[in-house]
Amino acid sequence: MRATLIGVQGVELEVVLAALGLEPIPGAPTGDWVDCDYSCRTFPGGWIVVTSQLNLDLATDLELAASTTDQMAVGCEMYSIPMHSYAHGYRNGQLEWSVTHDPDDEARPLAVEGTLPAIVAELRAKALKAQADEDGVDFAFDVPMQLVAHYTGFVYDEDEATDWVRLRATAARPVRPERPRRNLWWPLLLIGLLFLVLWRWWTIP
Amino acid sequence: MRQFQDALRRGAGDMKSWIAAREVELQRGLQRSEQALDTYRRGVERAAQSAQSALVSKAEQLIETGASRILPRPAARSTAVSKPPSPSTPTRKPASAQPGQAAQDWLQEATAQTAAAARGAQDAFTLGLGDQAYAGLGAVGDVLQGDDFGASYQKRMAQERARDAADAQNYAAARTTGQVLGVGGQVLVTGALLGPWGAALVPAAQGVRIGQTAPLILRETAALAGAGGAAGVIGQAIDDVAHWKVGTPGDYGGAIVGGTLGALAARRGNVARAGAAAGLTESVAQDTLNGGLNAQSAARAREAAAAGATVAGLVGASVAKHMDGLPIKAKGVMGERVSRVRNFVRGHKTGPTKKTAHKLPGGGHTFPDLRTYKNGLPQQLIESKFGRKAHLSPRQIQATIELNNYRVDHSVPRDIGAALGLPISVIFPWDWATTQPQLEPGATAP
Repeated sequence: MRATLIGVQGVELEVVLAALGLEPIPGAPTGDWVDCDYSCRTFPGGWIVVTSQLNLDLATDLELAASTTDQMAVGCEMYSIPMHSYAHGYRNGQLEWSVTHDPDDEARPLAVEGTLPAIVAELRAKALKAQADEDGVDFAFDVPMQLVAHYTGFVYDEDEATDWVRLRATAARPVRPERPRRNLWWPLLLIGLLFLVLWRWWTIP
Repeated sequence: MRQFQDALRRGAGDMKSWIAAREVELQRGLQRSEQALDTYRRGVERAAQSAQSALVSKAEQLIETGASRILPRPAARSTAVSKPPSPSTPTRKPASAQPGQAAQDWLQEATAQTAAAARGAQDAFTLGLGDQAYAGLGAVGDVLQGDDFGASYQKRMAQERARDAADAQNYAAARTTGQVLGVGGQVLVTGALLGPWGAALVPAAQGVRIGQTAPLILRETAALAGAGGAAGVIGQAIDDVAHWKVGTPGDYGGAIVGGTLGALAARRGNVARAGAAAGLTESVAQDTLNGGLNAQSAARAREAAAAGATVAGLVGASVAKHMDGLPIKAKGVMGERVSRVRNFVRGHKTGPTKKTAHKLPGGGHTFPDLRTYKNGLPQQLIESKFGRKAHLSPRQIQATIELNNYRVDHSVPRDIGAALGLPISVIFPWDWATTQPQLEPGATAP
């Protein structure tokens, strides 16, 4: 699965939603966080968490959300099929730290950048130790989500709340269309086969 | 004054006689030294000759003893040369009745047999290109001496062919043994090159599948085999079109057998080896179905295997490299597509893309990538994985333990390489790369 989680502290829900171009769906019942394309919920400590499976983009949307507060904003994005995950932390609208897990980068299973809070080192050391003890299990994958959970209190794979507010995109939400997928394999294959057939036909004595 | 002159003359005469006497003494001394040196030289030569004869005698005794244990008496062998031997071609020599001479003959015979075997191995190992390389290098040397390259090359190639023919005539067993060893070496080296060595050179071809990955069920294996057979038919059809001919049932049957076996071999993950298996099997099956194996069948099969391995390996490695370098999102899409194909082959319908949480008995949730249905009833929860080093997270490990219907599909880049590389190697008209004559459609083997 792919999911993006964004947490913002010390700001009104409407402000965050307006920055992200989202609004509650009128009359829609609440549900769990994966019931809708976009969902949001408030957490203790003045945190607001906005989630989406497909349509939030951490790089741009977290920056937008972080610009609305002078406190912290954290977010993570996970791709469970290639097992890639990363998290960013903002303070006063400025990027403070980043943690990236790339399974193909064996030398750096958890790459970190910026001014790291103590919790990053703690979670990182714990995950790497567990990974060294138990081969074949990707403990480092969860670290970015654990960081978001540490700040916001939202644990994505343990959360049982059913009061998540269902959201939808407003007209103001910037449209970020996926780059059209150009599948070149079939045309290339057909051209190659055609070329080979013509070539063989041409070279028949 | 006269007295003084007489005394001077006497003194000069004395000096001359003294010098003459010294010269005589010197010559005598030289003669004695030469005689002593000559005597010493003769002594050394006598000692060397006696040592050499003793050594040779001992060696001959040893060789003769060994030969009598290994081989029949040399005198019992017959010559196989029907025409007078040319100086440049190796031939057997008639055995001598003398024991020492027989040992020397045996030694020469063993050397010639070994050389013939080595030449056979070299020819097989290099697919016959060794002679051409040798002739080409020799011709380059001749060019430096002022000769014409073309003429020199032709002359040297003729010599190589004559020597191969003479080997085949005079040392058939040794040459065949060498060829078998050469093919074995070729297979070993090619296998290593396309296996561990190649994988070491192409990181995208590496990757260990997650241990919990669901194995192929019979239905999937059958579909894989069917796809391989279909690729074989397409390849034969393309070959027919390219050559403006109609293939025999044997041609198509062999193509189906080759494609099927290649596809099944691809399950092991090495597309180059699968391509080799497909090419070899197709060639042997076609020759068998078209009238039986013949003298060229082994060489043709070997070339088909080499061509199949090369095409499949190159295409497979390129595709795997491309897949390995895909962006993260694209890898996610690819992994999910592979799972959808598996669901389709298994006869299950796949639910919508949007993920939903599934509560685990031991606490927590898992978010399967796909859910399958059959006759409207939920079947399996699919956790897709794509990548060389993708592993399950702790929560997913928990799901594999606690849920009976939780299936892990892990595909690696080389799977996609195999899915494209093998069909292309089967379809690709690689007969341009072969040197052995192909059977005409319907022709029976000699």
